[in-house]
Amino acid sequence: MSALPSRTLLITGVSGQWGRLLAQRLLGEPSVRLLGIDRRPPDPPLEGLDFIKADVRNPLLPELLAAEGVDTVVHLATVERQWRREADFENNVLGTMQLVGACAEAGVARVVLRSTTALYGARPDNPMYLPEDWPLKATPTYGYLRDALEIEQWLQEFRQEYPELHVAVVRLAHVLGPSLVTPLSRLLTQPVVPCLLGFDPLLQVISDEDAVEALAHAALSYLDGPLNAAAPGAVSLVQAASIAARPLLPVVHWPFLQSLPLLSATRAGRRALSWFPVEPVYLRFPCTADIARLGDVLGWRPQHSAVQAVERFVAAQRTARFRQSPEAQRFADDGLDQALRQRRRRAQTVMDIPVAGLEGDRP
Amino acid sequence: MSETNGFSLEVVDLGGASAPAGRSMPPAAAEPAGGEFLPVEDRLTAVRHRPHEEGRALLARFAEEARRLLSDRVGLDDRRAEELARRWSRRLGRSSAALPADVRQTLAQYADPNVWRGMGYVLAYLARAQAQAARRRAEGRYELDDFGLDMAFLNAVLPLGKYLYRYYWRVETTGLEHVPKEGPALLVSNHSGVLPFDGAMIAVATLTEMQPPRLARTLVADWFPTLPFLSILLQRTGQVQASPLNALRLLRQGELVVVFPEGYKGVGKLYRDRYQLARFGRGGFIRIAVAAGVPIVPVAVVGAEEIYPMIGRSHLLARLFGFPYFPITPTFPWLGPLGVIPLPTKWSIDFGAPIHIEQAGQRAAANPVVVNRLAEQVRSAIQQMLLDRLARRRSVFLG
Repeated sequence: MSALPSRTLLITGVSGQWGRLLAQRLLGEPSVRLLGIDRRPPDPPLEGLDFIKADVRNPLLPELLAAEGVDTVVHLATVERQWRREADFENNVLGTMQLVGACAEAGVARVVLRSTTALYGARPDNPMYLPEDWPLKATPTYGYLRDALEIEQWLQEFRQEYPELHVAVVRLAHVLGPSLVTPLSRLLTQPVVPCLLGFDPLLQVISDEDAVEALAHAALSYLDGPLNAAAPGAVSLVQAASIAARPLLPVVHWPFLQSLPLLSATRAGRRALSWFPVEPVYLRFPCTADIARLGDVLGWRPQHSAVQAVERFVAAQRTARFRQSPEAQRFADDGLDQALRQRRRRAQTVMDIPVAGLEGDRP
Repeated sequence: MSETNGFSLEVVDLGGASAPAGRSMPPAAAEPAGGEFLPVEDRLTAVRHRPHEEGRALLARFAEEARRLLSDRVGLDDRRAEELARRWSRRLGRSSAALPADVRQTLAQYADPNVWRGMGYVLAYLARAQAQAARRRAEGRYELDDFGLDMAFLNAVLPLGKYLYRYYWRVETTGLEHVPKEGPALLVSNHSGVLPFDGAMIAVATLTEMQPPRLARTLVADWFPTLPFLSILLQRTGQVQASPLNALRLLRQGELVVVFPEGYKGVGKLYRDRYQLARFGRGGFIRIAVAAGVPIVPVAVVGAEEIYPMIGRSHLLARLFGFPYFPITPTFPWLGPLGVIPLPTKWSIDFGAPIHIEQAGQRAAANPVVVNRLAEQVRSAIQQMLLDRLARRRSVFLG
């Protein structure tokens, strides 16, 4: 073992796309004990992860955090949906509030949240590369952005009252990568890429690998407060669509943006707006974040530039259908993994003495 | 082989004089064999010194080339091809004999198939380069800088800017030695002309008249990014939204930054207020120069204030379209798109001696009184430069 102090990390939403990637990354980290909670077990299971089936809003959560001696919680159990649903709002906004509150109560040292640079807002009076202390001026209509904005605004008040709980907020630019589905990745995989006629803003992106690495670094460091994470450089929307070899569908901005409230209120309008996974105003004005603090605080810089991130994503999209499934999946029906897990658990229960009453909650 | 040589020497009839020709002097003696490209200079001296030899040799080559083309490409039989080639080259020789000597020499050069072949190579190369550039662009393989500047795009639109600069407004630029050859500087200029052509002309001036060329990056008002197409044009040519954050970032990268402290009040100036500098904003440019520690270079643009003589502003239409101002000129909006054509006034752009305020210190730059005083200093320097130039100007259109 290394000389590093042993740490206990808990990832919420560990079965989701984000939680899974981060867990895989952190499982390779020495002297880190990794716990994960979610409403459903990870599929396929993650080797070495201590999975506990639980919702982030569970009132017993502080007890679990205290009993396991968790010092860092990475909250990734948020759902991203274009249009807000009551269940999502409860999970995202109320769930995050509950979780952060539980961490404060259980004496957890640090919480890491995933947020987005889109909260700075796309505006004509935006300078390029906004620093972390820039006010969040976004006026979102899409659900996931409204939730994220509400969480960050609440967090600013909360952090004043509870300065002892370090809350690191990693604001990610548009994430692009083969392993994740994000608004921009959906935009670039559509048969046509809609854009606003006569506008071609610079987009800031980050590759999925770099985004997960930024979260991992934030989880393992002693970061407090917001932190922008994006690839160096920027890529314009037209350039990204050209790299992805997708035809552009220009829309005249004035009537379209004027009718946006009407469109988002009707069912047909929402169906039409599903062609815009990224909010239309972000296709008009730039919304870019300064990444100077990323290197200063974490001592790490993204590996892929903006253009490289797009190229990597496009290359993976093109080869996705030709890639063969892993050898193990051919024998998935055998159920050998299940049997192995059962045997391992039996061996563990013989060795371990149950420490907490929560032991029985494990699957 | 010797057969063709003999025949081609036979037909040479340049200058009317009967030129005795024989097998003893093959054309290869006058022209390097293999048909390489001779530099134009060498070719000219060759023609000057041995006009007849050169002409004969060229006609011979022409006949040979024509014969080969007629037999290989056109598909004539050898006899017929030879006959035609001979006739053509004789006709060419005779007609050129009637011409003055210098024209004959020029024609002799053009009769050289190598010239045409060379031109073909150049054209093919250009076409190939253009096709490759278009392909790179279609595949998104181009580079944008952090603010969206696209050097290839800038080079593509620069000829238009150069045309406006040299021939339309005939811009006379002085004092470029005050602009640093490298490193950052803040260029502060008067603003006018309804549309920001003055910023474009300052950029063309530093791009074309400075050695090495430098791109001045203008800070543009928040209204321009909201306009379709113009927003792309401005961004791709290196113009940046006006804010201290952007200006500082650019200056720290060592760029030249142009700022128009008058803002909308300047660009939307009425004709009767021309060359009277409006208030210099809130002095933000002073704080930027102090924070970045860069000198201020005052710039006076004369001529731009008359390109659209704005006799009035419509507040109602401005509100309706969401414009900061809606200009009424003798031609706009009455003539529609024709009213957007600017008047061809004579321009001058004067760069003044740098004003060094960088040692003022951050503390002083936070004090509005000090900032106002410094801003007033820069403003009066530009106003004086404007007045100096106007005193020398005899005509708005002729300078």
